[in-house]
Amino acid sequence: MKVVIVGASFAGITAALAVREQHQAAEIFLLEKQSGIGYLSGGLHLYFQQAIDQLSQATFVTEEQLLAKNIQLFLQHTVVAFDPVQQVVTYKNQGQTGVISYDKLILASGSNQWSQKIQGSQSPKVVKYKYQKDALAAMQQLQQSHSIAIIGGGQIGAEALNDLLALNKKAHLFESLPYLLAKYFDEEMMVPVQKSLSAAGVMFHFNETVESVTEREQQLIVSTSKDQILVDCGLFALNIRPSLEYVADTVKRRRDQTIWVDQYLQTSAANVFAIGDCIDMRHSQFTQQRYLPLVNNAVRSGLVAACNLVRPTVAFSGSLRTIGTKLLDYYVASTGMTAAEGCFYSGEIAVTSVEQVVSPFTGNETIKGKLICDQATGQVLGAQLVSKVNCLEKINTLALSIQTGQTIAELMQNDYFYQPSFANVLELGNQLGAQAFWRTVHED
Amino acid sequence: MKIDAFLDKKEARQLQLVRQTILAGGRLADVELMQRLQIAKASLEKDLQDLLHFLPTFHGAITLHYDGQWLTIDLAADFSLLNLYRAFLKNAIKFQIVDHLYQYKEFTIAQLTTKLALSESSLFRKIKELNGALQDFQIQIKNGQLQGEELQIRYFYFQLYWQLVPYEHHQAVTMTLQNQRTVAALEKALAFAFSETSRLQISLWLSISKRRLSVSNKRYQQLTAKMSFFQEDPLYLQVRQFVLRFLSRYPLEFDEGEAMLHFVFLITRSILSQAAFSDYVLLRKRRALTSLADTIILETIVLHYQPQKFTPSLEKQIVYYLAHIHSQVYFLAGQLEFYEQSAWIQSHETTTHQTALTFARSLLQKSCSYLQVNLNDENSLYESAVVYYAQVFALIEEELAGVVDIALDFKLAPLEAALVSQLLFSALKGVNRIQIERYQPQKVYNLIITDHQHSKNYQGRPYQYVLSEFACAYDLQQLQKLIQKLLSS
Repeated sequence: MKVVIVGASFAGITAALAVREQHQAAEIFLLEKQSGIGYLSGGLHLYFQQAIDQLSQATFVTEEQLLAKNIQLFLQHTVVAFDPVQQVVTYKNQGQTGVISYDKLILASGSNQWSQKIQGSQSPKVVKYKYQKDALAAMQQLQQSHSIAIIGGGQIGAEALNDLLALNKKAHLFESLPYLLAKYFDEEMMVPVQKSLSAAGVMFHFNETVESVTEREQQLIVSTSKDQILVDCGLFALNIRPSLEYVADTVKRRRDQTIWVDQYLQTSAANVFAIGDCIDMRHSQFTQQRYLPLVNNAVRSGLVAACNLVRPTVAFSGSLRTIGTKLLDYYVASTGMTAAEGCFYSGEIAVTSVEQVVSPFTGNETIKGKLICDQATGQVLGAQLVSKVNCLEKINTLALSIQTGQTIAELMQNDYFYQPSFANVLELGNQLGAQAFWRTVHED
Repeated sequence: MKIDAFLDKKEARQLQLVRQTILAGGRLADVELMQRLQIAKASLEKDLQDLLHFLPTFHGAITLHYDGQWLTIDLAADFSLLNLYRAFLKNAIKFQIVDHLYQYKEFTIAQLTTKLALSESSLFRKIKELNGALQDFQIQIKNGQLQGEELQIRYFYFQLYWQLVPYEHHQAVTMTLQNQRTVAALEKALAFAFSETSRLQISLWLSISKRRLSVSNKRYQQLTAKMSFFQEDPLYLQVRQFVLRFLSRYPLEFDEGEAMLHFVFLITRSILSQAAFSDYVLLRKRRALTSLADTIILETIVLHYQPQKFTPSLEKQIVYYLAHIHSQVYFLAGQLEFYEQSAWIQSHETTTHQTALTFARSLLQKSCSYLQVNLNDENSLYESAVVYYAQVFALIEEELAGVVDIALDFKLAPLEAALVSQLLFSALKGVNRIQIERYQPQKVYNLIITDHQHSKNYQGRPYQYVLSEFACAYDLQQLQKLIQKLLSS
């Protein structure tokens, strides 16, 4: 079996390694348009947080590791088209056009950042750092700048704030929605985090959409519908969209232009699969699909596609949009639906909030937790955590509760360890479940 | 813009022929028709021949008879002239061009000449004619695309398809499952409950918006300038957040304009119920031009009707209608006329207050100055606004005139009382604005019709009329006079 994978980022590489594990005799070809592989898109963040000394250390896999698995890597090969009838992929390499045939094709070309709307966003003074080459340029630009405009208050933008504060930069953050990480958290959960960031000097521009950036001598004017701010450079932290120019109409596309796939990640063309940022994500508990370009989704879809190459075997469970990060002195984590998104849910939601000390013997620090569940069935739909203590791992158990369709009565009984130095008598998950459950009893 | 603008001259004339006959009550002399349509008898006969050939496709729902002098048209009870328009438009080249632009967003000359089986020069001529009509909406076809402010483009398509597509089709097809979910989400987000018609309107608007979403270089300049007064508007902020959250679930780049478009749609289309709108009025900015115009025009109307007083509920109702008129005049341009507006104006002039239209025009002038829009600009919406104002006056007059509550209080034997009551019910059935019932002691009436003089202390000291005979013609005449007197007082 000859497997060709387009794109050697998280999804493509995971798929290649998983195919190798299941098909020892398969020929695996990985085509990548960049000159290197395995770069962690958050590499610059690691560098500024001094977790690594050089950007080149920000990798999750090396060429050697792939070669050792007998995975053929073709760097600087840009796929320009594929023919699902003839089962061939056309690529360009150093100006030359070539073709490669396949038995199975996996489209994992990832996503990129570009804006059609923000005039001037292609300016070299507006940095992006998804790829290593961009990150190197961004590193220099950011270090030389005193004031920086971050365009977008999602995860990339929020984490960039951390880095810029660590570098003693003056940061302006522009976000169309009314608060930070608004896709993942409800507003009140972000209040303490934003307060802390504001106190550290961050200037927030919420409810403002950047319309243009204009170079003026050595600086940039960032214009929104409400304001104009003069900064030294900009950091582009939004608009991640699939890179699918080569796909054209060869496979069925969704209205938002992502590739349509079935539950086994098979596209409308035989023997062609799509994974990672090329597709929308669905979760069985939520009816509508959404575009969630997260590394965890890319990797999991890569694993699932590899299982289904020969026959449909494993259905993709979709995404809950689980994230966790640290912003200044706060750890924040979220999974599933927020209350603000409740209007998009077919049923009625119920919301429960609790705050408890991390453990009775480790100081007074607390964890603030929020749980969203279906009002009628009690099914857990979403959770958010904010604390000055590292609580990130807890979000994974809450995500599992959602994924397995647990109700609040079941969450209340989840079996968590107890040890007085590390845990509460009533663990946060149990506490959230219990509070939510009692609420329904009171309402009755 | 009249809907006829999509039709060729011959088809437009044939439809006018039908319309004029219907407006005349279904029967019209050919001489009159020839004069109205400015055509010769030969042309009229040819048009009638074409129509006679075409109308059987409606299986008898519309029939035409011409006896060489008089034209008679009969419509089935469930048949509207719109059905005829739909059939004509379906085949009209100019409509097909606009529809193609809706479906595909752009065209090449080669594509369209092939699709419509037209020569290039014919296509250019049709586009030129269309552009002349589309001027009313301040949009035009240029370089294979519909160009102009995005609001105007979507508004134009909304007007076109909302009226052209049968209501049942909107119910069955436009309201997709996805639109249903989005409308339900919007209801939750805004805490409003929409009527079925509002839901269908939103659904169509969503469908149009989805089609337009991927168009690049959309223009929002005028809209952005006009929205400067609404940046802190509570409803706008809610709509904006909803729209941004909704769109952020897709890998599509959107801009502020998208949220503004949806907000304008909601406030210009009477989507909000009157109760929901009244809540919004309490929160909205007083200094926004539309709020200002609503207040000023309401005050002007109140002064006009003095010394009569409006009840708070009537004032709320007036503001509700005024707000829609003013938001339309402020934000939009153009009106697609399916019905003969001039016919409505003529009938209004003859049947209601003679000065109503003059007053309506003065209100429009006043509101335009507060809304900072130029009344001299070509915009058929202004004429519609005059009609809408006049409709508000009709509403006010109806409310002010009120209803005469009449009770029948007879001491006759039950059978006789029943007989007289029945006679009176039948005789007064056709009189407008009365409520008539058997006397109930706990209720207050304006008029008591009775069979004997007595000193009974009726609540509220109503007028009493004692029947002279068993509800004879004289009594009925007197009663009608009395009712008119009560209504006018």
